[in-house]
Amino acid sequence: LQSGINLRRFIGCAVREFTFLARKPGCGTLHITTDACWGRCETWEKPVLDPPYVESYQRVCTYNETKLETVKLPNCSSGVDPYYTYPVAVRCDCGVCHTSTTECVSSV
Amino acid sequence: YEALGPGCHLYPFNVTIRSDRRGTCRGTHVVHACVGYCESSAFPSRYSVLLASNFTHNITSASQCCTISRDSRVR
Repeated sequence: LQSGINLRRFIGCAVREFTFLARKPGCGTLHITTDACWGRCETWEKPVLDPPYVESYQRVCTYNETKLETVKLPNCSSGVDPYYTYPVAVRCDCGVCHTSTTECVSSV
Repeated sequence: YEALGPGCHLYPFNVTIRSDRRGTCRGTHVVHACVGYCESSAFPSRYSVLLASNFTHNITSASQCCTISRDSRVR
C-alpha cells in the first residue's frame, strides 16, 4: 500500500504490512512483521423474486500469490521443532474466500 | 457501484413483477439492494487455527459483508 493514500476512502485490495506474534507450544514468542493483505472489496445482497429470495456477492481481500517464510523461534524445549513457517503476501486481490485453504471469518 | 464508496448502502433498482408465468399483468417496482465496499484483511493464521485445521488453513481472512439486515414486504 503506497504511502499518501487515503485509507478511509481506499477501494481495492493491496499488500499491507502486518505484525503478528508467532507462537507455538514449547517455544518462546517472536514478533514478526510481514506482508499481508488489506482493502475493501465489492459485497452486495439483493432481493430476488424466486427462492432463496436473496442473491449474494461477497468478495474479500485475500492472498493471490504467496511465498513461505520460515523463522526459528527462541527458547524452544529440547525435542520441540523450533521452526515456524508462515505465508508472505506477494500479490493480493479481491476474491472468494476458499474454506479449503483459508479460515474465513466474517461479520456483518 | 464504485461511486457508493466504502461502507454498506441502499441501492435502488427496478424489478418486474408478473401476475403469472405468462406475464398477463406486469408492473415494475423499485426495490433496494444493499451494496458496498466492505473492509477485509487476510493474514497468517494463529497456531491454534493451524492445529485445528490440521495445518491446512495457514491464512485467516477477516471480513465485513454488506448484507440485508432488515426487509419489508411489498404488496
